[in-house]
Amino acid sequence: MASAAAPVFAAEHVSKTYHMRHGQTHLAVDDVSFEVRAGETVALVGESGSGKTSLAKITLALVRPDAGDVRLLDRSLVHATPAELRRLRTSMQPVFQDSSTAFNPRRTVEQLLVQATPKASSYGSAALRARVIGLLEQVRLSPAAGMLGRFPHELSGGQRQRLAIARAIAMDPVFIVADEPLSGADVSIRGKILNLLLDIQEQRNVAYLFITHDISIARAFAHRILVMYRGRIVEQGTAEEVIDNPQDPYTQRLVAAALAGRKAINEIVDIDRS
Amino acid sequence: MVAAPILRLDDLHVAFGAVKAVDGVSISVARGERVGIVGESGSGKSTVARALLNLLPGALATVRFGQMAVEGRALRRDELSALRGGTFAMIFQDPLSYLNPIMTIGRQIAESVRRHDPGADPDVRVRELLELVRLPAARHSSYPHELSGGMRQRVLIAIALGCRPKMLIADEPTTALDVTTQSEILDLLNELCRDLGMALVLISHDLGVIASVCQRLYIMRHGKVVEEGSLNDVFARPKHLYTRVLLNADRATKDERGRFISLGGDV
Repeated sequence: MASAAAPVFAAEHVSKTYHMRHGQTHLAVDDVSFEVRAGETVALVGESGSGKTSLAKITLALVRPDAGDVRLLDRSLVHATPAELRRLRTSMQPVFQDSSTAFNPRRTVEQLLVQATPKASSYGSAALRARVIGLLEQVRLSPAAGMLGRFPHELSGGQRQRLAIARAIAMDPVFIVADEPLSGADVSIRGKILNLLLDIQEQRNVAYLFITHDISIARAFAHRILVMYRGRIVEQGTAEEVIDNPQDPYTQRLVAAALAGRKAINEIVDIDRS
Repeated sequence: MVAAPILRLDDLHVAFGAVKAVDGVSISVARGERVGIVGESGSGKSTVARALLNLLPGALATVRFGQMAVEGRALRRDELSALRGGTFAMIFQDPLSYLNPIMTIGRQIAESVRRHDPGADPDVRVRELLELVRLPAARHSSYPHELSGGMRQRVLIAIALGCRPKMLIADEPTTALDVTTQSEILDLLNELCRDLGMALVLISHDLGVIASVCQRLYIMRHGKVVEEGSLNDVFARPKHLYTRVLLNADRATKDERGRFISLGGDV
């Protein structure tokens, strides 16, 4: 359930222009504002070229916007000193799209999770291992003890995605930015990964920014949806509002096109049944 | 008497070292038929396509098959390369990777015509091909980076058609394109097959895409064909649990706790 308190994350009038060769510029993010509250999932929906990846990088303070502010727990990330930024970053964690390149291939599962544990040196080795096992069990990577010595390439895509989630929650963040976290996962386990994310949200009241091009997942999983097109947010609202009753013409086209595939399948199934 | 299928492939096996990418797959494509190969990444579907055109590097891949016949004539593996750019042509997912960035698209299409259709007048043929793929003739002097994703894919299709292929293999041709452009490209493929009597093997992970184009399909998982049949049969009466999961992949059903109900399979 989303909390009524101040937003965990807020972007305020953020803009970003990229400068390319021959004096050309590209306005990737154009006056974008949004917020995410504790325990809430906001989906950012857009196609390639919409600016969603640039916005994700700005959100994670990996890229500085040219204008506007980005605030985590009401502290500015844009105006933070490097030390403040380092501290703030632990409260915000990414889960990336391509789990196959997300990990140092020469570290075992245990080493990766120890590395992600805040103040790991203050734990005794038994306590540290117990914490790592606890994380693995939380993301249902089991048997946890058997996973410790494995390397990322020895895991399946779905297992690696769970590991990425384990690493993200190891820091006990208040905000997680997940960029297409299901795209590497076999269709049959996507529901499980989403359920895992829902459980974590329920237990920890984490806020999610869930970036996806998949309208159906956004509709089913998110509380609110932002639709991004050519750098601007063209529509935002609850998932039901945006998908079931889109107001903006681009959103309408996007929803219609996304549903066309389902329609094509249904037509075949229904014609055959009648 | 029924004409021989354009392609008949029995018992294909492909291994990359110890990894079995394709494990005993048989497919057939009739003249002018539109067939889909559905599967997720890792299913082996793209490997099957590449094996057909002998595009798998010999040093890395071990390929063997029971029998392969093209237009009724049995072929050996060393004869497969000759099919490329002749009987078969292929288009891929990301058109920009397959286009020369410093050549106009008109020249690239002409190159394909000169190589694979030497009797034809390249200029005339380029104009015809641009019209076939519904690109304005003026675009012949454009460079790939000046075109949208959808237009680039049309260029790839034009290059492929320059070979006058009897069968076109399209590997995820719309996956990298905006949703709003996808249906245009699929409509184009449909029309071209009908107008030119060309067969199509459409490879995709998206059943919605397959549903709008294909007459028959094969569903692949972990290197094997788990289900095959006409579009109607497979969609209306799926036999395999995995097929049912794919058919409902975009339908989110939740239980009382608000948790998604997944059908079968584990990580």
